[in-house]
Amino acid sequence: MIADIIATVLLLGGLFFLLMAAIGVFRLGDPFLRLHASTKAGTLGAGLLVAGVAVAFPGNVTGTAIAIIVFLLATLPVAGHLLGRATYVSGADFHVDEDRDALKGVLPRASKSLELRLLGKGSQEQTVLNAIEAHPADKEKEPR
Amino acid sequence: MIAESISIYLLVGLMLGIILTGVRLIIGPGFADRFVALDMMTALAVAAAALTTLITGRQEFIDIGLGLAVTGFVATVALAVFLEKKGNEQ
Repeated sequence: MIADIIATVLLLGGLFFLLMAAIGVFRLGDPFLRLHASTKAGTLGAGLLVAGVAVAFPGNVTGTAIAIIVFLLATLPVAGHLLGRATYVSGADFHVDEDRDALKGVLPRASKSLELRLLGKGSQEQTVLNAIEAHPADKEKEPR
Repeated sequence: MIAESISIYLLVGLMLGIILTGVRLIIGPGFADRFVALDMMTALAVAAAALTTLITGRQEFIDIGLGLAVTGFVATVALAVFLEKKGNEQ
């Protein structure tokens, strides 16, 4: 009985956080905000829901459930970090003032987003020039 | 008992989340939005596989969830590396 109540609370909590993450991915304004919604709330929600299933299921699935939770906790932040870095480097739009961009000068950043460049808006040479101008540190690292 | 009887409704709620994420996957203006939505959809699919275990009573479905988690991680890493290389080289 107590295990049933615990399982119900875990399942409902997991669904709540997963739905919040999905609504965040749907509603928020730019790729970084969406990443913020999906990585943290998504990890927590999926972990809680799998834990609830492990408590409620009559058979023995605890080992696999623990493996899933540990794997999710280990990999979703890594995937989120990689995606965030790739998003910044590829020049996706985001709504932050130019002088408040904390990663400016730390990571190279293309001046236009990848889909704009692939669609051919703006010449290719201009994009290269902008990328070099924006990050003088990279120019010195290039081999002569 | 409660958990097993409500699990079908929980799965319906998860489908709502999958639909929202799928809309973002389709309309997302950039590549990054689509990759983020795909990552989120993987987490939702793992949760759906775990709930299917509870609904059908077959414990093979939770192994499917583990497989989905592994595959989704590899897919996300591959897409992120693609986006970083492709976005950086010009």
